[in-house]
Amino acid sequence: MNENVNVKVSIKNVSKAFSKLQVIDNISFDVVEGQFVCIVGPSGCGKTTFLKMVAGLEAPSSGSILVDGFPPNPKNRNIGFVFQEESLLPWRNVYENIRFGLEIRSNKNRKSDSIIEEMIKLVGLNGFEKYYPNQISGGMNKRVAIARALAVDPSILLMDEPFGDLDAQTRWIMHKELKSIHEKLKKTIIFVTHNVEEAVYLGDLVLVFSKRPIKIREVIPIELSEPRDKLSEQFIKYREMAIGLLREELVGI
Amino acid sequence: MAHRYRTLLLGTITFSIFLLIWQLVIMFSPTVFLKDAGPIDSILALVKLATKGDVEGISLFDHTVASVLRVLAGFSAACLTAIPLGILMGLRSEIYEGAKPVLEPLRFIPPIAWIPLAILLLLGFSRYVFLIWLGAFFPILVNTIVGIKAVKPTLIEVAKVFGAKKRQIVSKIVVPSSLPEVVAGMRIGLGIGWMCIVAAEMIAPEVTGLGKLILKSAQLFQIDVVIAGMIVIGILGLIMNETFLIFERRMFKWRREIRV
Ligand SMILES: Nc1ncnc2c1ncn2[C@@H]1O[C@H](COP(=O)(O)OP(=O)(O)O)[C@@H](O)[C@H]1O
Ligand SMILES: [Mg+2]
Repeated sequence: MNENVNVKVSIKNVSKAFSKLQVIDNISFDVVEGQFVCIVGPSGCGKTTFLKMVAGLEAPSSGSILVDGFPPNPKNRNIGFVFQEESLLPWRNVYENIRFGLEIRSNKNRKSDSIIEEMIKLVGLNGFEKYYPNQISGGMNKRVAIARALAVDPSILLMDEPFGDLDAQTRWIMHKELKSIHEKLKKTIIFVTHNVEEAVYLGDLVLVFSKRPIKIREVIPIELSEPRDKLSEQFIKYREMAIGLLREELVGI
Repeated sequence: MAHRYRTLLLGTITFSIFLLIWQLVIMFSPTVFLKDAGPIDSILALVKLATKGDVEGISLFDHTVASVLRVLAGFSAACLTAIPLGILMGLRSEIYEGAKPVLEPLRFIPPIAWIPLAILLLLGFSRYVFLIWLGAFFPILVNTIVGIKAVKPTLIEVAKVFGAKKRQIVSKIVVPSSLPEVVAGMRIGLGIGWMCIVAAEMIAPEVTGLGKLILKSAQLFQIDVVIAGMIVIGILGLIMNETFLIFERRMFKWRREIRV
């Protein structure tokens, strides 16, 4: 990596096994500050496991992960995580859900109110503060989860197939909004998906993971003019390349 | 609205059939003691109980208050013991496993089987509190354990990602997520406590309580009064259950379903 860019996340020779099941096999890469990295890989290959290790929820079996130069530990570093499955606290309304991380971090002061207001505006949930998760749509649930993760001003944002269960229309809207959030806040994002189009649309960099045990199959820097057009020839070229790689990985699963 | 009228109509029909069967049973029963125990006699007996009291002049109100107070005291004792213990056992399965050899056999002894021992070991009010406590304790304990264990692992990870301490995970995730289950256990426990009190009052020497009212009247062959007492017991039980259900629906409106 270039000396004068700021490495945010550094993955070095990381492997992970659950007893006998080898999930990740010696991967290394760096994520630069402010970069939007998308990871695509076949289902069940270990993408969630990988993100949890970056969050400090799981320990690697060997190798090292550094975030801002330290092994990740949620107790002393703010980390944003958007989970694959439903993760809002169903007994809390939208406002209280977004406040959750601030409460844990015991920043529950006057400032936290203005942070929450800001987050609500950022994800476009004005007017829905008092609604409970079961009263709002799947897309809105994801917005709340994103707002909750961002409210603690995390040093990295980890997203695990966040839009996997949304319909195509909603997913498309969420893509645009996530892009604009990234432009506004300049957060470092690692975004996991099995949807190649999504990865090429969102990422500065797309990593293609192999099937289990994970190796890095390919690193694809995306050089497209903004705003990206999913129908442009360039876009389709990237997409087809990544799909081709992924398809090779799917053979024999 | 049409749906409402239909339920109302259906309810009225069922209720009328019930009254009719009751009347028929009384009319064709071979014993003379049931002659004055039809629906109308029983309602009249209820009115008389409420206004003039029973043979000893103890009013229906006094009987009711005595029973309700005993149940509430025993029920409170059950909540105060079963909920903390359930939380502890739900969180620490080794404590649950350790307590199992004692708890599981005890759980299947009906509280009514404890009545003779309670009469020998305890006196007065405490006897009832003990028996109600026994009846309400296990449903509350079991539901609390189940509620605690059923917490979604993802929600715990949400808290961990924000750096939550153990204590915060318990207070902000585990306990709130188990509350609907706990309250449902309380409702079931209260119902069982209510059933136990009547049996306990029949056997203990105190002169008040709905159970005692029924037993006393039966010994005097005032079957209409017995039935009047039964009606009061049924209605009070229903009110308690419904109150809980309303409370549950209000408090847990974030839940998709509330079971009955
Ligand atoms: N805690 C665990 N214990 C044992 N095996 C696990 C655990 N977590 C995940 N796995 C296994 O690791 C593999 C990868 O899982 P996961 O990271 O969820 O994949 P992905 O997110 O790519 O679909 C799966 O086969 C899964 O069963
Ligand atoms: Mg996954």
